[in-house]
Amino acid sequence: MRSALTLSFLLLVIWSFKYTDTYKSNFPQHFPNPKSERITNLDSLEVELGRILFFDAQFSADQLVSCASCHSPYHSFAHVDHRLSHGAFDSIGRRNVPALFNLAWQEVFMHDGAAHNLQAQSLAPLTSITEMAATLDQVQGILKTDLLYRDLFQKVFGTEPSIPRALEALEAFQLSLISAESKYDKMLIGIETFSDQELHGLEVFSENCASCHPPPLFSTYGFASNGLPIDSNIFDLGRYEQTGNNSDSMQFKVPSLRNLKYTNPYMHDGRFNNLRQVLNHYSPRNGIMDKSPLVIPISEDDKSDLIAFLKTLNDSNFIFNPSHQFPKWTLTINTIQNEN
Amino acid sequence: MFHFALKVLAFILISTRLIGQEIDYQLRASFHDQTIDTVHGNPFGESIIFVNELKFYIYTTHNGQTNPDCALLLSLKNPKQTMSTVRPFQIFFGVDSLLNYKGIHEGALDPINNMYWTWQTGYIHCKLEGYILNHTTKQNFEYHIGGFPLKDKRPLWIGQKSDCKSLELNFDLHPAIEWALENKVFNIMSPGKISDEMVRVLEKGIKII
Repeated sequence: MRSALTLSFLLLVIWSFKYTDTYKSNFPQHFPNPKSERITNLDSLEVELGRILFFDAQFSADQLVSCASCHSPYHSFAHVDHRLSHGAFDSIGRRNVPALFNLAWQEVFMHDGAAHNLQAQSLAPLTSITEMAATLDQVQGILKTDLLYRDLFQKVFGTEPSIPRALEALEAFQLSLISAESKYDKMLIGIETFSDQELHGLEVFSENCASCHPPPLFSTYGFASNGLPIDSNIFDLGRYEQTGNNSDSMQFKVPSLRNLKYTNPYMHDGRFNNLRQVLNHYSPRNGIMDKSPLVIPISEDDKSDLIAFLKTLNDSNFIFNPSHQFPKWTLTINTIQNEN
Repeated sequence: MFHFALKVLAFILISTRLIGQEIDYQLRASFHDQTIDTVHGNPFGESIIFVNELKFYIYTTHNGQTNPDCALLLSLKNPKQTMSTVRPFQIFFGVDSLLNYKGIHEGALDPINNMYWTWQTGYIHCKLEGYILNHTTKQNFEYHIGGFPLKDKRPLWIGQKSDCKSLELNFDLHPAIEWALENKVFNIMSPGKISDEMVRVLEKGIKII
């Protein structure tokens, strides 16, 4: 009884001081209008609930894998140094984990655009046998019996926990992940300046890369071929697997070039470990690429300058934002629950 | 005073219709004119058809409007459902394209009902599973029809009602099975051209009484 009272008191204190009703979404004026209407009207507590769900490993079949296992906040919500995603029971997926940020400006999700809705997207990793391998019955069972979730769902939605509401909260948290404080962004508003090398890198970028990776989001978020030959072990045909259209074969969603410092390896199958390798792939000297329209005819010096520019798109404020990290305060709550 | 009473009466009548009335929806799954027999199957020429699973959505619209509360999941296991419905209403097969586009919903559309694709977003409009027994051979069939790409297709109209407290929905599977055998299509698990063809055949078998 005493533990239950302590739990209630703690929750009350935390929520009283920590949250306001409306989540403040910060994105700069040079960003276009978001595709998601929710971004301007997020509820703080719902975002927090989404964060707790995002970091909770008990939803996976082996209770060891959470969304954050592959989407680490310290790596721009990608899985650094892992070519392909890892999942429950040590399973290995088919694709490199995409970074998560600026999702409010996107309309389809995953490398092949399998998800047309961010809320629905979370169902895929939850139930995929190479990711969290959960069943929805298990997920619902945990939501309905966990005291913290029961309490939080009541406060956020005024209802019992349910899968649709959990997906809504996960969407809210993911929409809150906005990366817009890189050196490039600061240069645009006049509080940072570029070096000569970065300025030249920007020129090289504008001439050769910006059609697929246009600023300020640095992606069209459409689908395109990256010119890579198919990996015969994975046999991933990309967008074709969703549409069945031959013209979509080997087309993958164009990734943003923000935060590349934190998201290696690169490409949909993680085959390149560093940016120089990526640029070499697009180089005319690469025999595989000779016939490709994707060839970028730039010198080695230009590559260095281009990489210097790409580094200006890294956003350390986003990476180390405490509100993106594991919600440590839940540890206190869980300890009290266990004692109870 | 008389006019006032008339206005109140009219308001009550209109409100009652707009608020909606509980209507019982009863599924009668059949094969030709025979009710589906899940234990002994149904005769089909020299073969017998066994249906293990039939589960599908219908939704209603009033003045062209619908919402997640207007969706109903009927199945062989749960053939009778009640839903508040604003009259007059039209009934459609599957999940409304707009609801499908908007993502996840509660109630009948809760993914816990296993009618949502997780690998390719979108609701499954209809699940039909079973097998065909012909002497010593057994042919399984499994059709999961629906998904997001159907959003641009026309709605699958079943019928309309202006006033009723219950309605029976007859789902004759004969056209679908016949089409499947003719075309030798026994598995459909994703949206696409074949799925679209199947859904049109399924639609032919649905009638409201």
